[in-house]
Amino acid sequence: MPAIKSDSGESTAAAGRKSPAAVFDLAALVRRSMNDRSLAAMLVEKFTARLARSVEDIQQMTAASDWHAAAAKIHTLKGEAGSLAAVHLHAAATRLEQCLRAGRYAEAPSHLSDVQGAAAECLASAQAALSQLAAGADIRS
Amino acid sequence: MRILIVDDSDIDLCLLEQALQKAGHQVDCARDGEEALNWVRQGAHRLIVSDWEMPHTNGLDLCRKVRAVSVNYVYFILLTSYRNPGDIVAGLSAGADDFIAKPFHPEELLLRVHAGERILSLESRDLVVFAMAQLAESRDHATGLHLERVRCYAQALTHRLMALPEFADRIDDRFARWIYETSPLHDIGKVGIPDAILLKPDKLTSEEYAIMRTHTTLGASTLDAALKQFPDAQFLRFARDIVACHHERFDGSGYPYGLAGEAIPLCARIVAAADVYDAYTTTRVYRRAVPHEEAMKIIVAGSGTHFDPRIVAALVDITDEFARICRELADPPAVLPSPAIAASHAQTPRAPGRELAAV
Repeated sequence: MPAIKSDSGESTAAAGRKSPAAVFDLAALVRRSMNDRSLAAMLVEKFTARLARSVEDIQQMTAASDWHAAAAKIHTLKGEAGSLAAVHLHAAATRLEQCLRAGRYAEAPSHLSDVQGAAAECLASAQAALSQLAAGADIRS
Repeated sequence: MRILIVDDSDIDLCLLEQALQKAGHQVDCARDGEEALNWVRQGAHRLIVSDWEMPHTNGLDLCRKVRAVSVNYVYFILLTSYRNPGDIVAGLSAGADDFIAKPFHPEELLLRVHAGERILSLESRDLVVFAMAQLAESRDHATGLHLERVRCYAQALTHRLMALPEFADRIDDRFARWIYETSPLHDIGKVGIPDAILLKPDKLTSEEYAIMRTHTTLGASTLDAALKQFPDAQFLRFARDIVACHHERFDGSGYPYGLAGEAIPLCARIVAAADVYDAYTTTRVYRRAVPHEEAMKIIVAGSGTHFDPRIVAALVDITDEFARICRELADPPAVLPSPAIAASHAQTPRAPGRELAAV
C-alpha cells in the first residue's frame, strides 16, 4: 500500500498543475480523519462538490459590496479548507477574510482572485486525491 | 462521556464526531445554536465542543445560554480560528472553559476533552465526600442539616479571614474551596463510636466521654490510611487536619493532642468555631437551642481560650451572615428535651458533658 507523504513541491506531470498531495495535505487529512481513508475521501468529495458554488457566491457578494455576508461565507470556506488540509485554499481564504473584516475592501478583488485560483487547483486535483485515498485498505492506528 | 458537538459545517461535524467516537465517547451533533439548546435542556451532556462563528446563535451566545439553563455544570470548549487576546477574553467572559484552534488536531481535541473530564470529576469528588460524611452522621438522627450549616459557616468565616492581610498568604481560593468540601467530614470518626454512647440522651460518664473523644483519632486514622495510598493528595491532608484537630482548644486544653495556638491547623480552628456555634444554635433531644445572640456571647467568651481570637473577631464581623445561615438552614421542629434531661445538661462554656463531648 503506498504511503501518503506530505509533498509541497510542484508536480512535473503537467505544466502549472500541482500534484494532489501539494493541493491537499493528504497525510494531515488522513490523520484528522483518524486514519479512515474512506471518510477522508467522502469529505473531499462533499467539499469539492460544492466548492465552485461557494466561490461563486462569495464573488457575487463582494461584487454587491455585501461585505458582512462575504466575510461569513469565506469564513466557512476557510474553515472547511483548513479541516480538509487544502493548504493553499485555506491560506488564500484566510487572507480574503482578514481583509474583509479589517474593512480593506479595495484589496478584496485581488484576494478573491487567489481564492478562485486555489479553488480551481482543488477541483483539478480532487479526482487524483480520491484515487490516492482509495488505494489500499483503511489505515487504523 | 456523552459529548455534544455544535458546528454549522457538516464537514467539521463529521471530523469532530469521528475523533471523539474513536476515543470511545458518545457523540451527539447539532448544526446550530437552537438545536444545541434543545439537547442541553435534556441535560444529557456534561461537555460541549462548539464552533464560535455560526449563523443566528454564535458560540459565545450559545455558551451564555448554556450557563443560564443548565442545572449541572457543563464544560464548554470553543472551537475557533480567532486568536487575539480580545477574542480570548470575550470567550472566557461568556463562560467558555477552553479553546481549540481550527483546523483542529485530534490529539489536542482529545487532550482538552480529557482535561474537561478531570474538572468535572472534581464535582463528583465533592458529592462523594459529602455522601460519606452524611453516612457517618446517619446514625445520629438529631444532626439534621448540621453538615450543610457547618460547611456554610466555615466557608463564610474563611472568606472573611481571606480579606485580612495577616491571612493573605495562608488562605487562598483553594483553601476556601477545600474547607467547604471537607468540613462535613469533621465527625467521620463517629462511625467507630458505639450506639450506646453516641445516641445516649443522658449525660455521659467520664469513661463514656473518653470513648466519645476518640472519634477524632478514629477519623484521622481513616484518612491516614487513604493518605498511604495517595500521599500526594493535599486535599486529604487538609481534611485530616480538620478531622483530627477540630476539638483542640486555643489554650491547649482540648483534645486529642493538647495542641495550642498556631500549632492547631488553621482549618481546624475555623471549623471548631463553626461547629460549636451550630451545636449551641440547634435543638437536640437533650437540649434546646439557644438564640443566635446568646450563642455569640458564648463564642466571644471563649475567645483566646477555646477559640482563636482572630477567628472570633471575624465571626463577630459576619454575625448577621451566621444568623442568616442558621435561619435558612434550620432543622424542622424537633422533640423538645424533657426538663429532667435538660437540667442534667446545664451548660457553662467549659462544663463537660454530652453537649461538648458531641461537639
